[in-house]
Amino acid sequence: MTADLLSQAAFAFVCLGLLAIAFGPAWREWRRPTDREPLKIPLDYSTDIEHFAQALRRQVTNALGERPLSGGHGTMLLPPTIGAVGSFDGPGPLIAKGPLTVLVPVRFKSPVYVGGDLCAAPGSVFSELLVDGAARLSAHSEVRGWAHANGPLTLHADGVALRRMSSRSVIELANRCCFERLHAPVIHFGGAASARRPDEGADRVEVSFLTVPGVTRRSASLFAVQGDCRLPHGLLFRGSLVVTGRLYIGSRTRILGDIKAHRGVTIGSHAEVSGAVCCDQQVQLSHGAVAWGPVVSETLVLLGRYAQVGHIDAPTSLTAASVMAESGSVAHGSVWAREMGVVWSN
Amino acid sequence: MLDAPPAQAHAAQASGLSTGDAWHRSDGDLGVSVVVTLLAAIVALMLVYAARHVLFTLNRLLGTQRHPYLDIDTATWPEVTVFVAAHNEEKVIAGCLSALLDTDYPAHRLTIVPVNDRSTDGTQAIIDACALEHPGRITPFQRERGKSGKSAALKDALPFARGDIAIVFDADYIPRRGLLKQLVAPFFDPEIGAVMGRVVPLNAGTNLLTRMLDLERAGGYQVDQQARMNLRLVPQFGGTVGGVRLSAIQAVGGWNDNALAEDTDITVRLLIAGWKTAYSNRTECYEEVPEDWPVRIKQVKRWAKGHNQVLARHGLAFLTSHHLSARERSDGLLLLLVFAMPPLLLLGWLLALALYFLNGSALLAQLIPLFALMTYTTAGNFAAFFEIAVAAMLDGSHRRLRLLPFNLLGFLVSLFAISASVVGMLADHVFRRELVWDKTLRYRQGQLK
Repeated sequence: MTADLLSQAAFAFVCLGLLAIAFGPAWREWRRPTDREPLKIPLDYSTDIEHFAQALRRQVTNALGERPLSGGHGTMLLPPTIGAVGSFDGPGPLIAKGPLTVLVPVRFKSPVYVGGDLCAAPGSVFSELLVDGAARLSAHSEVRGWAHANGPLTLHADGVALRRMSSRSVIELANRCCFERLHAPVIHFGGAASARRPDEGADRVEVSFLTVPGVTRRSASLFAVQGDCRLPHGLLFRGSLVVTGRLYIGSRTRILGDIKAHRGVTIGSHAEVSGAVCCDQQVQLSHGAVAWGPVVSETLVLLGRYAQVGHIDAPTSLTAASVMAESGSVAHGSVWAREMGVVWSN
Repeated sequence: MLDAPPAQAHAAQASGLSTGDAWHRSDGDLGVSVVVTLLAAIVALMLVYAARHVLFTLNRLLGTQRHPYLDIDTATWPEVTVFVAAHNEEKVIAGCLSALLDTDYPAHRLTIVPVNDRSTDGTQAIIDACALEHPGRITPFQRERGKSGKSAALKDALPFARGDIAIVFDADYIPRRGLLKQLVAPFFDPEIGAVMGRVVPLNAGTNLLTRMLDLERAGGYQVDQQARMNLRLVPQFGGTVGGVRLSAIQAVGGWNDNALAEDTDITVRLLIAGWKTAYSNRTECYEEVPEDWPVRIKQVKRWAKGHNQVLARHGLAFLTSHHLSARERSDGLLLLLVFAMPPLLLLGWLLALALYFLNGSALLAQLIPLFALMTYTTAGNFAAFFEIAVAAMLDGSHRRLRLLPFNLLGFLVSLFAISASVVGMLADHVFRRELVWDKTLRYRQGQLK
């Protein structure tokens, strides 16, 4: 054998040897499996808004069922009024069987259950909160985990609602409140606003999308535009629209369908979209604009004054990385700001 | 002795070679050059795929993850029809229907249509019993005749859909309670024509083959599909645990029952016409993977035939569609070519070996095939294993990665199976044979506990 052949054989042997090393652990794992279970998929998983509230309620029911209340699991009965500054901590829930008034800033590190109404002083901090009645959290209050109220839930100025906040009635967030995930039949940003009725009587002229320059038909009810699209004021369009650029919807114009734009959507004042609004970039609802939803943006949703998302009879979802809601705007259903949600006032 | 041109004859004399030898040498050099060029082209193509795999993996690890529709939990949910394709599925159909009946999707907006395609076992009896037990919720569709195959069966059943959205499941799938809402949510976006969820092998731990396939599936969905969604490329509709917009299907020519891979066919036709496919990584559903190598080989061959069929039919239209972005066009083309790569890869190996043996002792000539062989057998093909590794880590299942070297063997089996399929497909075309859909075997004995 020549020296070349010998060196090549040696090289091949070394390569095979290195490759074979990896088969050692492979062989062992095959013959004596240590990790072969299928990926766990919880079969009963669903997006239940009140999941945590229901879990706490069960915990409270079990605790209240003990006679006498043992406190052995860390549960504590709260007095109707808390007047001393401090913090409450422990493994079990803190239970107020009736209404609860917190007169001074208190930090609740344990879950709190209130069997009636809750009135919390400015600067109160809750980790988990379940209220059977109405909940009023004064200025600078914080909810660090979740909060649920069967009645109205109010967060006053400069409040912070991390994670989720839900109500079976209404959520009201004052100016400069920060939020992440909200869910209620009615969500008022910055103050109450009357629910908007469908604009039945407006004298809009119905036109086809095909009258708009650059619009082509993609299917029976879907139209498309390459580039930007500007819809004139005061018209009625039927069908859905996909725009590869930016979409500007003129004021008082109504679209009976869904819309999608890649580079931005601006819905003019008192304009209306009766379906979904989807955008890769920013979505802006101007003064009095309405989107029946869902509203989906991968960046930012701006809700102008008196803008409305969804309807009390047709709750929907608003989801974006960030949501900035001007005082007076309203949403019905879910609002999810994955990174930042804030209420502001001009 | 061959007649050589004068200049070459002179050169041959100067080097001490005979004229004939010089002529042969000249021909040989040309042949080697052609082989080297071909090999270089194949290597370059493999490196493109390698770069793609690495890009996807890095994106999955470090990039922004897109789940734009995942947070839609409240809405006026549209009418949906769920089709469950069933041909001799008595072992599994009850589990699928039971899971669908347990969904949190509004019952008055949901129609469940088991499509019994000429089953000869107890499938129909089980479906009928289920329909009786849940009146108004299950609408059986029985198919007695017609073209064979899932695609043809669904095409016959689709006119009975209520609403504009059709969700498709295979009978061995077990959708969880919230799955339908997650699959339907992307359809609020009017640009979405199809949606795909993630399939997870339920029988992952049965034997070595299923464990290897579990790793492959993880790489394909957890990394590859999600990265394509992140980068706005071309996520693929997989034909099950997914849905389609019926008006979009109608606009692009209807359901194609002449396609072996109707899922790829749909994805491409929708994309050509401007609709997108959304992938939802957190919409997971159990499935069964083949437990025997013959079944697996048959499955891979079917995929390869079907995929290449789509390439042949729609490749040109795909390249010339004005609805596609540059990145969609590039990625889509790579996607279409993926099952045409194995024969090229085999060819490349043969060329590299041939070059090695044809080039004597010249060091440079020896290095070219050696490095070519190394480059795309490591960076090229193994790059897909990078995806698998990261997928397993993301799933929290790192110990099963020890099996990764066995995936190399699995890859070799697929390589030859796909290559044989491509050859077979060309033969089908030449001899005008009809493509036949082969059903994959089911293994589960009872309902999921």
